[in-house]
Amino acid sequence: MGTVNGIVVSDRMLPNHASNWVPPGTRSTSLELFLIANSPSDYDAMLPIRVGQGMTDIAKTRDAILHFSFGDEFLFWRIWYEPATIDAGFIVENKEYEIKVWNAYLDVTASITAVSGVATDGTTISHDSLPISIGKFGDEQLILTVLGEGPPLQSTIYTVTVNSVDYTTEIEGIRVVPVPWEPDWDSKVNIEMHFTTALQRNKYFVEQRRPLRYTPYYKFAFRIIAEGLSAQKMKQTMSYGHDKVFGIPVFTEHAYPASDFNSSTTITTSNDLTNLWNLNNQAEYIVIIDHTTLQAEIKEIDTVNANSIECAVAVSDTFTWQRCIVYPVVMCTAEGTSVNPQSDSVFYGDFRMIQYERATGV
Amino acid sequence: MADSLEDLGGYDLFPIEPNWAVTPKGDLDLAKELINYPGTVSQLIGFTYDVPEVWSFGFSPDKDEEYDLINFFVGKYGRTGAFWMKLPHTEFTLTTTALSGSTELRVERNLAERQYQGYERVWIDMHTGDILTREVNDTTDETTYLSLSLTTSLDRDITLTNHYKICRLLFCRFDEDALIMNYSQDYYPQITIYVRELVKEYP
Repeated sequence: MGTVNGIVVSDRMLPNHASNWVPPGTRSTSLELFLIANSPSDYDAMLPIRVGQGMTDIAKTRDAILHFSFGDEFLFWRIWYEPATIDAGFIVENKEYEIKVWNAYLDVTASITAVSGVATDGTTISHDSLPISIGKFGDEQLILTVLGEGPPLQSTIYTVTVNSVDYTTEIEGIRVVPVPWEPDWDSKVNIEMHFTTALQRNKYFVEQRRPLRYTPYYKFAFRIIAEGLSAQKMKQTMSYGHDKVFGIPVFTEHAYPASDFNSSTTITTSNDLTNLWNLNNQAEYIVIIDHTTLQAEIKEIDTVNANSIECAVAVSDTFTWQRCIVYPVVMCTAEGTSVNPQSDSVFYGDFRMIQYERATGV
Repeated sequence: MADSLEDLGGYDLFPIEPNWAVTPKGDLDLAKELINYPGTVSQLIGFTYDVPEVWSFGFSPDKDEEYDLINFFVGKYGRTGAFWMKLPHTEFTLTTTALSGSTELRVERNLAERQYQGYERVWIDMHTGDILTREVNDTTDETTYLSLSLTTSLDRDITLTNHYKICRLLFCRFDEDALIMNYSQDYYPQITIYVRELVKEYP
């Protein structure tokens, strides 16, 4: 004979699984007895007591429901707060992020009583005046802006106090130092694209090869000749950027603006862009440079077309478009830099740069 | 007509032509060993019959060619991917016209049968600019000419005067993980490409 292994109370939709005294369509709980057969012959003996049919009086068992709804268990009756981290990536312009607070209590209000931050330089946060009352099942958004200008490494924590509980958002990012000088073509611009391959070969020339990376990393070497104030700025930029990330233009891929692009996301170009490999395939950013004034602005690329570049965010500086050149940018750290004065005001600046590939969240 | 690219096994052809201003350089990766004690006679041991050719070529691509070259290099992940490289120098000299439909090229006797391994490919540079690629599945020294037997028949007549050259097609990979481009202006960089024949991987 089988043994009673357990009693399972489960939700079923009627009327398929209920006795006829329960109104059709009513969500009910039915009781089933499950027996474990000890031997094949036990099945026959068990048949009469396979109950399964609705045999439960809902009115009497309401208090005995064992598990709640998904919403009750996982959604409601708590405060939701996000995000815990914001990876601002390479910071080249103002970026806005939302910090969301959701009062998922159905019957009580919540209150944001304090917003504070640590190392907030380079960021702003805007919200209603405190305390902020959040209605039942209501939500509130705080707007965090990571500014284009700020410390080279952004590492900020904001704390939002909701119902006396502290919730935090950590912001990480890296600001990029542009290099707005033209290279000295006479001493050559060196661009290297590197892969890494795991390769084994025996003396019979049988090989096994595996790529250790699927995109190349870049190295640049070039010289800049600058004079006077421009030379001084170059030297200071080298020194300032020794532990920072430079936005190195791919000097060999020019895009020449064909019209005014100030305050616009679209830069229309006079030359064909389709044969510029880095711009079309590798670059995530461009830099707009006026080499005359050393004015530069780095923008994130949205799309590249045959004769235009669509930026993710509108150009914010005011450029004289006739003097500007647009280049794709590779983020690099300095592998080696040197300044060689040729006179008291003319400097050679030698740059050896290696691509900086960020680990996410660092 | 058009290019007739046969017997390539689905692998790509290297996309651009080398610059002859930079002399191509070919080395053989030797596969032998000499065993001896100092002052004694030696024993020569050869490890394998087929030795890879290692070549370097100079390139000065324009912007379109530069795009193709970078795209090709990135697509191979540096040294990982294999491809076909057209050796630029004449390897065989045709002696008689090879007719369309023929599977034989009769060329000057150049001792190629000595090192023939069975996987060799040739490419033919036509005056029209078309390229033919074929597998050579046998070589026979016929005393007055060397017969190259082709796996796939020719799709046109190859006469003594309608083509520039018949050359080897090397199955190879890049021999360096770096593509180094030196620019004196934004166009025409100086690039040296190193390739190594994959003698054990011919399709």
